[in-house]
Amino acid sequence: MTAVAALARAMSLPGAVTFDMGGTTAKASLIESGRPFVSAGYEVGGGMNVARGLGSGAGYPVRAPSLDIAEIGAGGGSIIATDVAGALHVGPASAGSRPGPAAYGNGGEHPTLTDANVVLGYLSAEALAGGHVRIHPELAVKALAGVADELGADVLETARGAYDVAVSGMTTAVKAVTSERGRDPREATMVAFGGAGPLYGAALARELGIDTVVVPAHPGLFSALGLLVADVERHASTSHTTEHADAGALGREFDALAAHVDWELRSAAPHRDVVVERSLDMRYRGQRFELRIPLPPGPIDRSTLVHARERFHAEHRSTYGRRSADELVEVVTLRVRGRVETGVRLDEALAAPLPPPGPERSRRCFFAGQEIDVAVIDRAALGGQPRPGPLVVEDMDATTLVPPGAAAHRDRLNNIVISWSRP
Amino acid sequence: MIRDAATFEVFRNAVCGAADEMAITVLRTAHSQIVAASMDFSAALCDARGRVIAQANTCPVHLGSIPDAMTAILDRFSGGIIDGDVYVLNDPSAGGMHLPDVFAVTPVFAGTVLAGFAVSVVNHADVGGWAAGSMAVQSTSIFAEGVQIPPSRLAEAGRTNDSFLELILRNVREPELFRGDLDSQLAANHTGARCLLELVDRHGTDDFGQLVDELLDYSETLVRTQLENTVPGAYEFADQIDDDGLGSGPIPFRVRVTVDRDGLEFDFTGSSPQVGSALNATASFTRSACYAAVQGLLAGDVPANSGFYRAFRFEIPTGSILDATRPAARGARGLVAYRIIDTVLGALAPVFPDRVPAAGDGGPNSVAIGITEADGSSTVLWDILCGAWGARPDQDGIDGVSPLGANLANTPVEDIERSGRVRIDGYGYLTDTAGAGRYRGGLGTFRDMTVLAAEATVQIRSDRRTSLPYGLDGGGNGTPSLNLRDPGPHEVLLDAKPHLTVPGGTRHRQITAGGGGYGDPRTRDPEAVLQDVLDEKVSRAAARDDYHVVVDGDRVDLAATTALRTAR
Repeated sequence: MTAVAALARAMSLPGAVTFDMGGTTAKASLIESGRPFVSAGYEVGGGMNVARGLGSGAGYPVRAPSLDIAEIGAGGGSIIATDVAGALHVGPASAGSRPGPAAYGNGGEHPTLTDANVVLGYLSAEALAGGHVRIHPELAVKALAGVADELGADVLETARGAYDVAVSGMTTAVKAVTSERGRDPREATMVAFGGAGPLYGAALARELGIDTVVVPAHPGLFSALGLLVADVERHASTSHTTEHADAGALGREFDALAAHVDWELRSAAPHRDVVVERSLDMRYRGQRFELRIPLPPGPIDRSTLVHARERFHAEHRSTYGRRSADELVEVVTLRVRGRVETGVRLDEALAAPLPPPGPERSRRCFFAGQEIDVAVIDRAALGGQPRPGPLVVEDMDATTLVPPGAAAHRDRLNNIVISWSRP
Repeated sequence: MIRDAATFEVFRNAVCGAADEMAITVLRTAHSQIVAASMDFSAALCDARGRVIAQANTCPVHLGSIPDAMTAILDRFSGGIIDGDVYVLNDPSAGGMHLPDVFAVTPVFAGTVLAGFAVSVVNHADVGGWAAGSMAVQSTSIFAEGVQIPPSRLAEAGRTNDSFLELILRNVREPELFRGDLDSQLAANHTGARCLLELVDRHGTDDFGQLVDELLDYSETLVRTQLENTVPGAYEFADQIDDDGLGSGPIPFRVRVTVDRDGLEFDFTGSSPQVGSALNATASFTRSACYAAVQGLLAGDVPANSGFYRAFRFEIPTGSILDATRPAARGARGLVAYRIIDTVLGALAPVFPDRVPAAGDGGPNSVAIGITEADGSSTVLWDILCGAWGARPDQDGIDGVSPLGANLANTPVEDIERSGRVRIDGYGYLTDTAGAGRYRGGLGTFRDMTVLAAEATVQIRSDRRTSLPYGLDGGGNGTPSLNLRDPGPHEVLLDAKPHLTVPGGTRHRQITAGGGGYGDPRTRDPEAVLQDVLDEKVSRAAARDDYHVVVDGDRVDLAATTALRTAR
């Protein structure tokens, strides 16, 4: 998310939906104005975090500021299975890295999404990861044949069915961070990464009505790149109590919090500028979820609080579609965030020249009920002019699928940019 | 029969996701503390016949609540339903459950054709009546409990009936809160309607109907397949509630569960007649509690819809505590659901021998503290304290977690204290409260508080003081729930369900019941007993007396333990 935020700033994207899919899970989040959403806490050990409130309570709550991410159990290793009533399921059980997908030839017998993608021709039937992982397509077919038999369908249709089921599950994660927060995903650009994200990004975007998908360079390693460009941050907060009722007391409390994070950051990074932002967590009386309302710099007086309440009403209306009476507004938490920028430029790293491309090749891919020949190229072979799909673009660490009806080009940051034209 | 597995699964994801999206809208926007803290609300999508297509997993004991509400709405308005209508009700004798649960139903039209309904239910903070919160145990008639809304048209073709709404708002204590929560229900219904229309649009009316049939059949198949592996027969069990809060009790609960080729039948003949206080349920609520109990036993994720209901039959005596008749009060019927679940699980223990736990705390202790502020306004603080689960067939009971019938969270100490009116002085588990067993029950939980306001009303709902959480397969019972004033040498034991006015400085302790044990405690692994002793969950005396394990310092005295365990 940190890397996407940096990319969104470099590309001047007002809104970006991040879609990170790896071996076991898919994660989605929303970046607005180049900044990720931060939630007040996270739950660990409770399985998936997708239901956000509905599914919470199963894990251990960690009340520390966290990047707001929705997650579901769908990744390349997710197992495709049927149940006693004849329905098709993808995940959350995963074959993990050992034995991994059947096609890896490490003894895995359960069919996975990766196996489906091999059967469909979306993934190479020879090798992945620059030749380091041998693929055994016959094992993928064999694993999927069991599920296909149970459903009374053929292997190709079953593989594509699993692909579609995975996409429908992932829409839930994206909706959790967009429409369920009053944000229209159609106004955002999707950034798809992780080892499996670029295979699904375009299909997922189409399902959500998103026009443009960006697959950054080094998609499989993109999260790690984020670590290199992450700012150093310190947070401090305190609960709002009756003692903070007047603006003067509130201002003094904020000053104390700000002095604390400023001191901490200066000890960690003595020669850098510290940026301090203040905010109030506010809600209507009785609500359990707060909205974070930023405060402008400068002294805090009565008009600051009046403006904060107005912003709260407006934010509540845009998030939930309505506002309530003024007397119901309450302040829950005072927050201060201090930040020191690292100065590392992500865009320069991404724009570095790519290795020269290999020759264009082709393989049979299954779309809409039939197998067709599809061109397979390396990222460097993709030019600045949109090239219509179907098309497969292979990186060392991921494979990007450009479905029929979409088009792709490469921009100045070496991003693969996939576009759906609106019908 | 599922025609196309992938299409079906995509449809299932979408329709269940839509119900969840409705629920999230309620959860994030409703004001009532009880909505956020206890998930005491529900959201569902229905088809044009009122069948439940999908219901969000929020409140377990609402699982069967929607059909009766839909029947009441269709009986009243069928034939005159138009786009832009909104219907509401809360009348327990006409589709409702208890007055705070207000149903809002929005019909959804695809063009001119009725495609279905979006339904939401929220437990409102107050709907009037003599006691703040409208859920007092001591109510003796529904006329004392608040405003009664029969199936009614709140909006007609997009125009809200303002006089009707104002009449309701005039009868509740906090009209802004009520209106805010009702708005959040309408927002949720709006979300659900949009999702339903997208699905009809995507699949076409015919295929949509076919997929709904497939989804309902799917749930039925999942339930029936699991029941096929059970042993047919009739299984009986009895349990009870201590008292009705007005001095009468105990209140018996009896069930006879018949397992046969047609599924499960629950016959509650022999259970208590309806009681004089507000501990009375509706038949829909009783069925919901049974569904919740069974859902907890079934493996996997069975979608909650009208197909799920098909494997169940009910015999619920009219005029009983499980299906009271007007004008019975119903506000505090939550406790009835907890006891139905305990009774039903007791009966089902031999049917699902590896799944049913011993009895847990029997429902959380709920404490409502009412304070009248200097300006005449009132503050109500709810302290909900969840206790123990019973021991499981292969593991100890869980400590301090919401019972199966609810989705509660213990009220955070900070939430109560930030009012400045109450201070929490202590909060923890209590030694020797778990029912002994090869696997022991969960521990009882306590909370100590001091009233800081000049005066407060304190209304407590607790139970399981005389009717203890049962153990299974030779496991011991859990310990009783208690309410104490001035805990310490001069403590006073209060009633289980008191309504008191207390002066500032009053100290109070509530203790939840401990969970029942599973299996003979003398077969418990001595090392597990030692660990409990070291964790102060079990005393050395109880280790010796209940478990026949002798703990010497920080280790088990194996010779003494063996001698004790083999002695007759």
